[in-house]
Amino acid sequence: MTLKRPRRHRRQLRSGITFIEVMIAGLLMSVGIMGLVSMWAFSFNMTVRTDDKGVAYCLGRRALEQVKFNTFKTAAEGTYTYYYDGNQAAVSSTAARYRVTVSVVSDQVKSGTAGVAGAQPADAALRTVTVTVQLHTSGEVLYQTATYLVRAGT
Amino acid sequence: MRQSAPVIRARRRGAAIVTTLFVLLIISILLIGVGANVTSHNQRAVMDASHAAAIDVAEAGVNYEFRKISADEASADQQAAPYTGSIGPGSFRVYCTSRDGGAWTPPADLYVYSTGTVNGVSRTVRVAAKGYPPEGDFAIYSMNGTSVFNGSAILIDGDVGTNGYFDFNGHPGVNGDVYFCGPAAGWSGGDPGGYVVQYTPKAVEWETVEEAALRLFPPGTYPPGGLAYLALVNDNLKSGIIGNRITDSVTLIGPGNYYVTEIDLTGSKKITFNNLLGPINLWVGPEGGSGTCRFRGGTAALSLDKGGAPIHIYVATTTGIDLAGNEVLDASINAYNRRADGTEYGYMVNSGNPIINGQVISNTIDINGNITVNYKPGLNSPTSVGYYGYDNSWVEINPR
Repeated sequence: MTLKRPRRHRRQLRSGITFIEVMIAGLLMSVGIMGLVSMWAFSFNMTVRTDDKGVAYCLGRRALEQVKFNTFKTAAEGTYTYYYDGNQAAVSSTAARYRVTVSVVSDQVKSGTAGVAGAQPADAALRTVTVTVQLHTSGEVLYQTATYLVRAGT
Repeated sequence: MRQSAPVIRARRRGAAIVTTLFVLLIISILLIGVGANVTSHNQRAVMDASHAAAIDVAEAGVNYEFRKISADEASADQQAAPYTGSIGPGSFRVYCTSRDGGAWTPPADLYVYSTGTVNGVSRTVRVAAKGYPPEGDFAIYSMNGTSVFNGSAILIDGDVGTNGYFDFNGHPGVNGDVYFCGPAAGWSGGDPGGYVVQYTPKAVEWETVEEAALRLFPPGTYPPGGLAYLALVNDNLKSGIIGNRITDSVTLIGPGNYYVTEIDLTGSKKITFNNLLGPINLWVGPEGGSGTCRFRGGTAALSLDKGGAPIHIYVATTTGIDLAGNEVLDASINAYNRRADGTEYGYMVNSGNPIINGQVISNTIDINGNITVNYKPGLNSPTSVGYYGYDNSWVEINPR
């Protein structure tokens, strides 16, 4: 024996399923959009970080090459800080996005104190040059490099 | 034929979810692509930065080795036992080889290999290096013992240097720097002050008189070679020198090599150098001899400043050379010697107030009176290396 539901009852059942579908679809869409937003945020932040690293790399290279250009004998002893904006233009610390710290320290000096501005390196000195590029606001290190300077060196 | 309403509703069932999932799928694919792209780009930026830093660290290794072998060649790191150090964000591994790839023997030209590693990225450079002569335009250089500079009217135009000690009495005038070379060098009696003093870790080596003689007259070509050859074969007769002695005024004609065992000039007697046609070497021997060598000037026909040929006075005797009188001497004086057992000797003293246009190199020096020494370049060169550094080639090995 087959029991047949009344036609009106079947219509009500079908209408309920559609509503649940929409609810599920909405839930899926919400979860999906949350994931998409976080993915977008991740991509955006990653792009910003990549941009920061690229700029930091350029600023760091520039700083190191400037020290090498000044040569072993005339590169200034001490620690110096420079500030740059997002366009790599030198700015004041208040407007800076990047902070470049250049440190030149000799292990032997003719005069003055090693690591302090004004000191003159001895001819046989090993001068350690360290360049650190940071995000000015957070202090996060974006790029760091270092080398030695010696008389007649590379 | 039209489908009934229930069939249509049945087909619409699930369409919303399917559509939502499809849209999400498409956007997800796009964003995953973007995410992968930016992540890859970021990794590339990090990698590039590490590559750049690695080459800096590799260069640091090269310069570290330059400094190391400049201070002491014997401490060179050979390929079999490279040195590993760290600096800043990374580490380096460095060693030296000869230009043909074997173990390096100083003071030959060399290659320095250095590998810098930063964040797992390694880069290797090979730099051609060579030794450079010691710095300093030395008007006076003494090798050992204590050299005494008496008198405030001494005037030295050039640098003065020593591997031993300087005792400056009366504050002599030095228009140059005072070099103390090697670990044993320094002031005797304390720093008198007022001088620019340079300290270098390595002693400066100069050619001895016998080495100079052997270089010019090697035994293979001029047996028995060196001073022994000059005692037998020389140009003395060209200037009328008899018995290897100069006791009267004489003109030495260049080019020529003159060998004497005694020079004793008094009063107005002096040696004149005719260097118009070539260089003149005056050798005072024999090696370790004790003959008198009292000079009273020696003017060149044409000074070095005006393109005159060089004049060298080599003194191989233990008694050394005494510069008497107040005449001009246009010559370099070398009174530095070494016996077979390694003992060094040689002496220069002045008992007058001569003006020397040249250079003075001796084992020890006593300066009395108001001597003037004007440094002239190109007369003598140190035989030792002052320091090592870049020569003419910098290449990356196996670049990416």
